[in-house]
Amino acid sequence: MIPGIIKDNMKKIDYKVDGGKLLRIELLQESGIIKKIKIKGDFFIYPEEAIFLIEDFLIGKKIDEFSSLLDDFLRENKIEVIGFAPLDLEVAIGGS
Amino acid sequence: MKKIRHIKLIEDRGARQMAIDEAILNSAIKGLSGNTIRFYTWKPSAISIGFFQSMKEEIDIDIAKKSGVDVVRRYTGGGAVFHQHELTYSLVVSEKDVPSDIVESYEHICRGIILGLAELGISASFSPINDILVGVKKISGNAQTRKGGYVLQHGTILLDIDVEKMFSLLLVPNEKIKDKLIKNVKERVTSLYLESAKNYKEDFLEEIFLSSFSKALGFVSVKGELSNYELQEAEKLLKEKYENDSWNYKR
Repeated sequence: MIPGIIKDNMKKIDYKVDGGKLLRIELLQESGIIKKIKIKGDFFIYPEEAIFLIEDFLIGKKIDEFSSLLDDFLRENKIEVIGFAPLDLEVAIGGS
Repeated sequence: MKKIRHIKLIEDRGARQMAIDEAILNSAIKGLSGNTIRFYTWKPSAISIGFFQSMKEEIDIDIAKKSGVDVVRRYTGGGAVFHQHELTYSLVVSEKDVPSDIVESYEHICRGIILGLAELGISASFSPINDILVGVKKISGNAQTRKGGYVLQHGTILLDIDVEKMFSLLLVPNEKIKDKLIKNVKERVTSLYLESAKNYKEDFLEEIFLSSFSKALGFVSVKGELSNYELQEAEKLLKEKYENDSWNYKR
């Protein structure tokens, strides 16, 4: 695959979290494995720059089986996400 | 009682306001200044998007340019906001002076707005995560970041709203339901003008909300100026970040 055109192949998913924020996700997956992901939306992450760590962490994970791993990752790295939970993200992309 | 520096209201474009906010935060982190509050207005009107949003997904950039509306990405998370008839507050306080729980700290700081609105005869309440409502209608949205032991929270106090103009600038996921969304927003957003039928002067509101924030947070306000460091840091952040496409179009 040519890196420059990856973006064009990415699937866009909009998912409104119940009682939370709007997730706008771009996802590239192969055989149920996350190859590339961009998580956008009106949520909050403390610190903000941790979004890049989260996106990197998700690469190689199964699209429908990462929420508890992400829970641990957030806790271990003292990252606080407000507006969605790892399970919301899994539900948003797991069915894609 | 603890002191909070008050910087007199600044009217300027969005990119510079964002740069000044971050410069004040950086100054506090470096120990060059302490808790600070200021109010500002956006001239020209602007749309700000949250840290995690994409400019191209949220805003019709061509229409914004044609309408003379600025666009800027904030350092804080949250959603896209059309800043037109609005008073914005910005607060930099030590983390020690607010609850450590983030949603609780939003509520704590937002009490400043709720008390100010009460002074104007408007009864409002906090709605988690980051909104203030009059009844079921939003009158204020707020966004917070934390860095180096300090909290930067800025937010809107809506003076008046132009929903049609807002929707000409903001992209909606589904154009077919745009009319319904406009109707929904009209039913879910309010302003000082709609609640009081009064056009308050910005100077008057600055005094009201300076007093209410001080009271809510337990500070006494002291008049101050931006320091040379803050002015230079703001210029640097303006050039290198907030008026730069590599920042504004990052996501």
